[in-house]
Amino acid sequence: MRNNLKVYRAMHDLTQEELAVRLGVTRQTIISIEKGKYDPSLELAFKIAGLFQANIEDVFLYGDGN
Amino acid sequence: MSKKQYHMLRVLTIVIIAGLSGTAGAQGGWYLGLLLVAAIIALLSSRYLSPKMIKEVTIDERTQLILEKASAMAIQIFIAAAVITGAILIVISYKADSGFDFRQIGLTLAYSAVAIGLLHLVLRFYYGRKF
Repeated sequence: MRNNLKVYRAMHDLTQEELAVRLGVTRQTIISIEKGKYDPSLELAFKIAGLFQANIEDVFLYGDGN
Repeated sequence: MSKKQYHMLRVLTIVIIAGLSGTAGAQGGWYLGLLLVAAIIALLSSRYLSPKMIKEVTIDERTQLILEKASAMAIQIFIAAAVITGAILIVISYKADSGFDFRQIGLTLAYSAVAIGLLHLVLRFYYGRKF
C-alpha cells in the first residue's frame, strides 16, 4: 500500500512530531507510514484521513497506487 | 518524565534486578528477600507509575505489533534452542564414557520448552475464540 501522508502533512504545514501528537502515536510510527514500511490499522487510517478532512482513498492507495 | 528518561529507568531497573538475581543465586539467604522486594517495586513502578508520568506516547499500534512479533520470535527461538540443547545434554549424559551427567539439566530444558509451547497453544486457542 502507498500513501500521500507526506504530501498532506506538508499541505497542512505539520511536522511529524505534531502529527504524531494529534493522532496519539509515536513519531516513529509516522516516519514508518511515510516510508511505506508500516501500514496503519483501519482506525488509524480513518483518523489520519479525518484529520486532513480527506477521503481515506485519497491518502492511502491500495496496491501500486495506479 | 520524558520517554528517554523512562527507557533509561527501565534499563537501570533491569540491570539492578539482574545483579540482585545473580547475587541471590550465589549467596542465597536474605538476598532473596531483597530481590523479591526489588522485583515487586520494579514491576509496580514500570507497570503502573512510570507510564503515567510520561506525557509522550510510548506505546501505539506499531510498537504493539513490534512487541508481538518480538515475543513470538523469542518463544520460537527459546523452544528450538531449549529442545536441541536439552537433547544434546541428555544424549551426552547417556554415553557411558562421557563422564558427564547433565540429564537433569537436559530434561529441565526440554520440559520447560514443552511447557512454554503448551502455554502458547492454550493462549492461542483462548485468543482465537476471543477475536
